[in-house]
Amino acid sequence: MSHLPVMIIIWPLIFAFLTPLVDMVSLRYRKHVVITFVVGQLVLVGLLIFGDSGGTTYYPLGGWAPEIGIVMVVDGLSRIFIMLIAVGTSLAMLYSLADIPDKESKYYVLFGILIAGMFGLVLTGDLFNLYVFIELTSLASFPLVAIQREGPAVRAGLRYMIFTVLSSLMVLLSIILVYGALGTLNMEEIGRQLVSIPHELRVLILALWIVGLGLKVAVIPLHSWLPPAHAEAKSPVSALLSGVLIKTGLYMIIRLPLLMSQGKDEMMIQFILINIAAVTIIGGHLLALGQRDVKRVLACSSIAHMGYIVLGLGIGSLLGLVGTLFHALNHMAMKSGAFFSLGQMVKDHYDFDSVQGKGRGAPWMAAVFLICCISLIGLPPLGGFASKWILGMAAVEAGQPIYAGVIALGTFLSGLYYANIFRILLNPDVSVESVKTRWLSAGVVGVTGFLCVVGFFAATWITDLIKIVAIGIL
Amino acid sequence: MWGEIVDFAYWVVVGLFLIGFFGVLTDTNLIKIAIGLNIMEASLLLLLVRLAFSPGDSPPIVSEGILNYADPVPQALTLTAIVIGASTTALLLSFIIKTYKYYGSVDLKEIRRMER
Amino acid sequence: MIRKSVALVILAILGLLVMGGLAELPLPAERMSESVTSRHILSEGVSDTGAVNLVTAVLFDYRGFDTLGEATVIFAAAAGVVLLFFRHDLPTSRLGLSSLAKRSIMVLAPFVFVTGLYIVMFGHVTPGGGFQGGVVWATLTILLCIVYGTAFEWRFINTRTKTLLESLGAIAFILLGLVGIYRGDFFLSNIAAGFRAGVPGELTSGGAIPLLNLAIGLKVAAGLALIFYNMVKKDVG
Repeated sequence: MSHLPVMIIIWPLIFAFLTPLVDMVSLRYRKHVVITFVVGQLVLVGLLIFGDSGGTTYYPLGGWAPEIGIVMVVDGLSRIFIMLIAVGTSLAMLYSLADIPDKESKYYVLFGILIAGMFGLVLTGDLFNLYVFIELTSLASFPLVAIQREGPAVRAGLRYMIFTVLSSLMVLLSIILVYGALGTLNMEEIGRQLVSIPHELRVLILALWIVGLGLKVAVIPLHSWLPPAHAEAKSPVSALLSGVLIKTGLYMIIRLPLLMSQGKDEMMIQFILINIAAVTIIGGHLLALGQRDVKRVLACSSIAHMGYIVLGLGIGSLLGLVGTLFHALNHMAMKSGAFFSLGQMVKDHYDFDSVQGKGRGAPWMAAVFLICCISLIGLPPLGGFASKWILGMAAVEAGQPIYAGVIALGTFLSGLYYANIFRILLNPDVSVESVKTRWLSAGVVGVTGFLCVVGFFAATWITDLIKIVAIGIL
Repeated sequence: MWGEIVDFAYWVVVGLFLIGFFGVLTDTNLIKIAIGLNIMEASLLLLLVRLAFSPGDSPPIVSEGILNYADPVPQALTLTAIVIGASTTALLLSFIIKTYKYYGSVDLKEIRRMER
Repeated sequence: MIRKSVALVILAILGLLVMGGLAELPLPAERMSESVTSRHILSEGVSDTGAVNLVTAVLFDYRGFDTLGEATVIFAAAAGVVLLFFRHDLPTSRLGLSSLAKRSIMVLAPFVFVTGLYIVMFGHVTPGGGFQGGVVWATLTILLCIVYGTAFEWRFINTRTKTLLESLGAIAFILLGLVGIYRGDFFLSNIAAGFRAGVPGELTSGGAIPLLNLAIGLKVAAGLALIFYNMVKKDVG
């Protein structure tokens, strides 16, 4: 029996608990500790994902039977999300070494806890344990948003916190109702027995679940917390929140309604999801068009991209699900890359007036930023194009070509504001000094640019792998 | 169909949940929003405890001569949820203290006016 | 005014939905008699874990991983509060309250400490446990802080010690969990990993549960004390 599923969660926890002790000795060891942690994490995740044949494995915690204790489940879906989280967090962690001062030891503590929480969230097979991990991830992310400790950052963090706590309460109510109706917390067992819940109660449970998680993935009209929170944070935190954290809400949406609903309810949920997604895509891009701050533009574009991702779910076909998962992976790479490279070009103040011409100070970073933005717009030959293409194909195939039109319109709108950003960043009329980039940050930025390119050229290979997983889910 | 619900606890749960939610939605005072969130949390804890218990049950501490025990699982879940709620409140309050130190007010309307 | 009426309408609909849902819940007794989880824990709980208090048995054995998660939530909250108030300084006051209050608190303090210890160590026999006992310990440091002034407390148990205790408590919990893996069983295994079940109802029963309670108690006490300290700090810009 392999202990990897639990070790993946314990490893970042050990890092988080040991960091204060190491800091008491000296701050000099920070770099070594962080790099050891990242390497260890990548090794553990690699062993888990590629180490076995890819079936479903269970890990009973404390040795109790699944319906009595808590069980960890590793299946295709959780493998994809583990990979996404591992890559996204490792890059952000290495990037923070250069960007976050060493004396901020609690930053690394919270970062470790956040990673552990996200891994736990995608691995657990127990509903209440899922709630604990939801709270763990959100609680660790609030202070990270406010790390600059200035008024706007604290206020953004506070707003983010109030919305998230509200969403957690809804999820908790829905979990309590499930337990009250079925007397079990095991997710597979719940999936089997959900049909036996009286109709009215089941609708309530699903509605609370979808609204609660809708708040977390920031679909319109539940989005208003996201732009300030993602824009006021420091670059690595923005990349982490936009690139990785909101995807965990997506994981829970995929995991539960598909397990839960059968027949009429499923059609209903898909109808709601697909229309919310269309509104979110257009609305997110329009919001981004109205912003006067580069980071806010990127944050609003995250809302729109969550729309694309939910759209694939709403289509409900195999191809739609493949598009959803593929776009989630691509979005992680390109949005993190955009935040990382932007953070190298501009150190603070991201409004349009202060970033004039800053791109010419660090031409290599500007090049990667260009790659990431083109990928975000969805033009070939980059990853964003490949996954948007699949989503569009899925919509046409499902006989709803209007949603392919929505995707095309979204692409056009995003092209407008990214072109504007580039005009400002490369403004030749302003004189700028060149900015030095540390090799570590440059490496991280390079990796994200590389991932954007890989997303296109290896698209068929990746989608074939995702397809195997998606068949298992449906 | 609600006529059948003689269970008083359910009414209290829904009442508290709505009162808390109303405060969160309409109040502009940050402290009151925090209190509203806590009231909502408390209503959910009450629901959990209610689900553990049927009349005549003893607390689930095993001793001689007792046949009916309350369900221990929701009680353990309640404990977990209480601890999580307390931690969230602590962090929420420190965010509010920080906001107060920066803006000199805990009222959202005034803070918004100051930001302009 | 518009905001309030809209909120009222939304809440009325939500209230009707939730009430309608609650009306369809089965009676707790019915659900319990059908639930595998509850039946197993009620009938086998004592022999499975050696703990008489089944709530503690669920909390620290059947669902021990939840408890690790919730302990980490407190850790995260403490870390977050410390991070937010990073540039603040503790206003040291040497005055405190009158000598009457100081004398009586010194008489009380050992008893408070022992009460906390009792609640922590007997968590598997009587109601209580690491969280509750840890909170009692935390109130002790807060009491000393109020009565003697912060300067005394600062020297007595400074922030470094608290951070140390908090981290050590957390690491001890994980190590106790890893014992299960070391003994060839699973993470957080209790009796199956060779911890002795003992005679139910005695202090030494329950396998690893008293030890886990002690680790959690330390962590909670130190974490809550840290949160309190950071909240009374003053802004130094």
